[in-house]
Amino acid sequence: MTELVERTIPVSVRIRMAHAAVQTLATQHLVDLLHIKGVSLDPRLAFPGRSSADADVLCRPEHVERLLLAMRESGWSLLNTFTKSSAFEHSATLHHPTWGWLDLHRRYPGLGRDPATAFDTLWATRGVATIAGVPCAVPAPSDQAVLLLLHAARSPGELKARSDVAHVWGSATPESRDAILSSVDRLGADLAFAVILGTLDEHRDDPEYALWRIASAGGTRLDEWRARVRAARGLRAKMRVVARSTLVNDEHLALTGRPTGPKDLVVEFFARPIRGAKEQYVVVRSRRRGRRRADG
Amino acid sequence: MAERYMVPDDVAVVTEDDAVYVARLPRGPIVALDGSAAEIWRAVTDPGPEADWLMRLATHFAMPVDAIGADTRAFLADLTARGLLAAPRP
Repeated sequence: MTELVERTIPVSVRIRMAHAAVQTLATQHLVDLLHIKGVSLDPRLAFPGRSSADADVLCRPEHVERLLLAMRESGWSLLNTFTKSSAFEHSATLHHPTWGWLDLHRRYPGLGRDPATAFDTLWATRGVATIAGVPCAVPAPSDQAVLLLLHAARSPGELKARSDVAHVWGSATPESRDAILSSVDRLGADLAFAVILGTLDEHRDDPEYALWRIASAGGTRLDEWRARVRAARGLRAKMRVVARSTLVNDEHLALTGRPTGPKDLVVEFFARPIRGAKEQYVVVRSRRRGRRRADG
Repeated sequence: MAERYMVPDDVAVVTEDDAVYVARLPRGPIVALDGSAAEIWRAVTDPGPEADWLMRLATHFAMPVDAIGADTRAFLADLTARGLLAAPRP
């Protein structure tokens, strides 16, 4: 009469379970964790039909190492490290054979310059969302709106990001906008939020201006590395960025589905600067062509 | 008979469509309960006023209590052994 069924588990179920699983580890290891975006969103912030492909969590920066160790012992594999995730070096991608994919954020791009202070600010006004029966800490609704919009600010051309902006900001009441702007101010997110407001160019003097210009409008790899160097604080940090620009992201290669033997790494090592130069060449060439067209 | 099973704190539960998915945390695996299995889960964990879940199930399936009792108890014993349910205290 009754049966335990083994079958394909829907992604939407795995994502909820992933949140619950990582929260259980966080509780066991005294780690402060905020569940962000996706299924943890306040329902009022999700446009109809919004879906997610993975779970996202933001960890108190000083607890990240402890959580990573606990996750590893619990069967999670690290697929992409923080420094290799993006120009903001903000998240690590992990995978579990049962729970699926999870992005662990050690900082959130666009929030202040000090990740610990930003986390404290979010943590101070947190609420609770029950996910898969497990209580999970989530940012206050207006802070969630800011996180969603900051993500959209660095996702140019993505339909989902455009829909998020239209739903959370475009159709917000004056009261909701006031609450969001108050959160932006509290979280020190003025620069990144200027992308949403269309006022980014008013922040040209900010060291992270170029990073956000490229994140929001696109640019070449060389542009991105220049922006990363400019945004890094202090000579030592700038030198670290320069050194990393020559390293090969072997995990990125693995995720592209291509085999990553020594030959691939060698090819990628040499291809990267060439790709950067080629993209720069294309941009320069197209700019010149554009100028010629404009002149003509 | 007024037994009610409890979901332990270290068990995640997701209900989607007509199925119930349950898993021990933090390692899993995920167990999918379909059809009558999902109905039994809902009946024995429902915090509603109806205490006699076996009677409710019998009514739901339009079968005599005697005909479903043994199978249902065996199924609940399996879930309890897996740590997915906590048996009622005597």
